[in-house]
Amino acid sequence: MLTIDSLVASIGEDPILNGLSLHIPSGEVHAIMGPNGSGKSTLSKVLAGHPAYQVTAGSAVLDGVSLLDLDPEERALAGLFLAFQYPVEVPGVQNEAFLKMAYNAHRKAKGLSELDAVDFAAALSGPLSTVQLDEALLSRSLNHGFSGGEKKRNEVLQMALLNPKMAILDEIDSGLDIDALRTVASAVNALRSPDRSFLLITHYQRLLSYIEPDVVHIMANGVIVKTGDKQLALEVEQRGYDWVVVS
Amino acid sequence: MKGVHLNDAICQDARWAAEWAPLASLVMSGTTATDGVHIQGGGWGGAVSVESSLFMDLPWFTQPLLEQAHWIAPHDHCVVTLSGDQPQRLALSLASTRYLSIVNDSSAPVGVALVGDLHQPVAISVLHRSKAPVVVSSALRLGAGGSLSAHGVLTQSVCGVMEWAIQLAAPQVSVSLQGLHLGVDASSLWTRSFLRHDVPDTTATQLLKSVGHGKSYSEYDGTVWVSHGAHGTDSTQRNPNLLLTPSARAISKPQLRIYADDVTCGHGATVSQVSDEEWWYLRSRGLSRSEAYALLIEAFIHDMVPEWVHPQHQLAIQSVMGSYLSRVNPGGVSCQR
Repeated sequence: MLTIDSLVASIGEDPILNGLSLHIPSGEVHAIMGPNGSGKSTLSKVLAGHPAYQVTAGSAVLDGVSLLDLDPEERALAGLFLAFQYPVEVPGVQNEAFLKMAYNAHRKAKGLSELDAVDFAAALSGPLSTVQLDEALLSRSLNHGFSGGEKKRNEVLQMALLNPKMAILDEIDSGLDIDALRTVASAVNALRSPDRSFLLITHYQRLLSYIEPDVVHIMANGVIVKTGDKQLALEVEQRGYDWVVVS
Repeated sequence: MKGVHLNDAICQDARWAAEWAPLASLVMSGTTATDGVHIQGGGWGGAVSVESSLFMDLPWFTQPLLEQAHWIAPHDHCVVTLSGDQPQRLALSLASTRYLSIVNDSSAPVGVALVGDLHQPVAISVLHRSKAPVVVSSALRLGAGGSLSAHGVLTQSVCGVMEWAIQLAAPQVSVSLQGLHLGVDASSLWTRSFLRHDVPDTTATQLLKSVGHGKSYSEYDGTVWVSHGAHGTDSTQRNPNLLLTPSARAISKPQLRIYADDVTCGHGATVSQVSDEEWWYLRSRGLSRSEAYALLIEAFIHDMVPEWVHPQHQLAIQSVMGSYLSRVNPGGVSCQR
């Protein structure tokens, strides 16, 4: 599914990713944990094509498609989805209109006809009930004035709607209370399938007790320093990162 | 307030001779025609005397326009459309008007003066959409029972000026001024306002948005004046500007002169470009570069079509916005990258 090989990236003069390699097979859920500043969020932004980062070496291939040669929208249409750690507020762009544009962009890329408002509302109803988002938020501006929990639910709603092959969830648990975390986690679990892979970026083991990963990676200084199963997350929870990073 | 000169307050350097030359020649001299002026809800009328003492000192353009203009006598509801290739100087007294709409497509310079002592709710919407120079200059006083909702859209004009000089002269009167500048090429668009709160408990809101493209220039020069004893005044000015090209310029001069104690006044101005983060976010969901770009510009201006404007005029504004978006958003826009 996703293969990252020796990825080197920087922002301005500062190198952040230093030859990172990672392979996520189809249907698997991987988690990346790591201390602050280890480059976890940078990895997600580089993969999704954030304009501020420069990739200087390495590759990232999703189902045979080289992502790093593509514009952000082409990556999305190739099946990549990033749930943002801090979803961007866009005043003046109505949430539902935006969702419809994004959905239709994906349909067009697959050679399907665009849906009108009525058909789109039908397409949206399934994802809406999965995520349990207050429907009133559909008529509001995109993420504008949403609470932390509402923003994260709106990210997962977009994911459920756009049906990606590879979803990266960047600290989807941050800013969520325990009930919201359960809802978001169960929505993600409902989307698990043999054709879809997930990469969870998190600081805390707690998320991983709700969304059980197949593989856990520890990242430090822009590379993966240790890989294991979910026991590794529990061990980090108890012992901190120092023992992994030093060894 | 004796000794207050409007033009000193809002335009201390008398630069209009140079920068507004295309209008100066129209306003000060030359013959004008009535061809191409279509009036629905009114007709031609005689000059109405305007006591300038009502308005302190009249705005730059009002006085010369009043002296030489063709007068229109508007009814309760009046729609004026301007077209053709002859210069036009018009003046309207709004003493008994409730709704006035002006749409200007003329390819020659046009000057319109709006004056009146208003004791009724009045709504004015102005849409200018040709390259020709234009000035709409108003001097209005709101007395008991009066209120004003005004909306002006300027685009394309090589020299487009809207002036709003308004005296709030009775308690409880209110003013809402909205303006939109859609700059292209070398257009030069100006909105100047002078609101004088003279008595207690009056309210005013001003919102002027501009989008700049090419080498366009936009200026908002707005003064709120709160006189001695005008307690309970509530007056705000906002002027957000969006620049799409490196050579587009936006100048913002919101000003407050407050001589009373118990007032609520605020002003704010911003100048920004299309946000890289917002743009990337939309594209990361599959929207194309240009789709996302257009969506962000549209988001900036979408609230500038007031509900009180006549539906036909609303459609005209939306159509101007639509053409503007397709004009400034081809794939090769030299924005961020």
